[in-house]
Amino acid sequence: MMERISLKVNIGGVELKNPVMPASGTFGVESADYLDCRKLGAILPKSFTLNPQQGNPPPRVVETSCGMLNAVGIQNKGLEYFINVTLPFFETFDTPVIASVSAYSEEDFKTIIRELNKTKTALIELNISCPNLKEGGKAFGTSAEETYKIVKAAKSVSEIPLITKLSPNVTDITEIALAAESAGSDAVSLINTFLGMAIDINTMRPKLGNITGGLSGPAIKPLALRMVWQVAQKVKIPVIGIGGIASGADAIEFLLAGATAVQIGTSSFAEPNIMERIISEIEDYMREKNISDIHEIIGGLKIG
Amino acid sequence: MRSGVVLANESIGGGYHHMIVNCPKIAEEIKDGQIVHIRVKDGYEPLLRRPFSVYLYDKKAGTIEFVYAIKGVGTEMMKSFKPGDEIDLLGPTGKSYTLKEGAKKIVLLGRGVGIASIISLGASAADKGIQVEAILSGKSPEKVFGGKALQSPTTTVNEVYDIDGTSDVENVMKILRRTQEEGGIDQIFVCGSKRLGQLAYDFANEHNIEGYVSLEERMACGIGVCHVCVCKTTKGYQTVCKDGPVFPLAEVYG
Repeated sequence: MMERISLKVNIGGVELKNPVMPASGTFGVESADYLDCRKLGAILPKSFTLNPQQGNPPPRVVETSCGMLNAVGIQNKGLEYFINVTLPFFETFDTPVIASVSAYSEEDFKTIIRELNKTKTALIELNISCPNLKEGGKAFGTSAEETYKIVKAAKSVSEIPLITKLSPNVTDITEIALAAESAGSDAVSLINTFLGMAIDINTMRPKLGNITGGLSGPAIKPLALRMVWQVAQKVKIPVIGIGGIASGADAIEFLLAGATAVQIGTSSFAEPNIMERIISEIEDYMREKNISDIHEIIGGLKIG
Repeated sequence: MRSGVVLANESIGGGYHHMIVNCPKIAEEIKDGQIVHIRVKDGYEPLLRRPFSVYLYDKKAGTIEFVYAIKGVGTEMMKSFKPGDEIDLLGPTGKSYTLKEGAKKIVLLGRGVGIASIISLGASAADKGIQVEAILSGKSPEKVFGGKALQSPTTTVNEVYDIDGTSDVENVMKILRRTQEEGGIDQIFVCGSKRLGQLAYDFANEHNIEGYVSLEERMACGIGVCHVCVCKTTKGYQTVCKDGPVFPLAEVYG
């Protein structure tokens, strides 16, 4: 019998019992009816903004080959609701809660973070990369300069470690990751969705109410994996890998590429308890390979 | 998630399939008008579940039934489900239709595959001795189903079609007025057509009748998390999978 295996990882000083957590926009209080939140590495409820917002006009979803486009536009009930309802609900699971925050200005980010400072939020993920917000995310997350400014501003008020969520809709994602790191981000998570589009040839109209939307799901996994690998080479802070992960094997690929943790999004839609399965598949892999500590996998890619 | 076993899955004409599934847990929990999300196939193609309203259920036998229209990749694959196949089901989700305490007469308005949403409600109402006036609409007779399942001494089924003009707004309105004159309608339930929904709303408004509509939207998570299946209502965008699929008519058409 081999010793007990450890899946523990550390993001910004916060210990997670395993590296598996939900991706923003795919997890909420309803999810708790379908899986055991205590088993997750962290809980990451849907992104919220300072004030409640309605989101984009429907239709908001198009299924694509091995993926889907969404153009929700972060419909949410705002900061107050997160603090008064969402957070207390998830605090009962003895698992770190990550607040995914989206905003339209530096000031809004600061206002939200100051309020979160008063709560038990374990980590904050700055969603500066949602492709479905006209002003907000897009402007910040697609420029290294803007990313630096916003992360610096957030860091100046935050008493909670920060994760910066990066957009793949850029020329060189490593530049953005380095900007986030030098501004003091404690980790980076990548990738958000790829900006995409679909057209109904009968009506000759876009299939999404917002015309364009974000592509997610297994279709984007190779692209995400490549970006995670590139970023992990460049930054010293932990990288959280996101993009089409739908099995323990997928998660392990991201860990080998250098991710310290992974987020699961679209795959939870068809299988709401998939994160529990992914955790146990990672354990199975470690047992098979006789690996007792997950850090032996992280960045373990062999080249040459 | 629940596992179900297909008992039957056959074409009933008109581009529809009728499927019976054994799933005692869902049969036990299901309420009229709620949705069940079927995973058509393992793997990533198609990626998402397909939502269906439950057409009929039998709590004693532990069965639920669906009528689905062959519309795309997912339903095309479902055609090949055979008796004995095990399928992956999520649900029931969403708000159900509710019969008002003391209701004596209700109207059901369904069109096309939307008819599947209102049939079990009609059966439940008939079981309680409530008078049911059902108007089932479709392009042609083969596009209309469910009449047999509604048969009861207290139920009247009107089938109306586009090909003979009986599904016209004027004719449907005539049936509604006649039903109202024969004794007040307590509730109206509608599914499957915006035009019928509007008509039901106008009529319900005029006569101060409580009315509900069940909506259909493409869904992803099916449990109210992702917010892709929203519809515009007087209360803002609401999710069809969790806040709906059944909404008060006034919230959608008001």
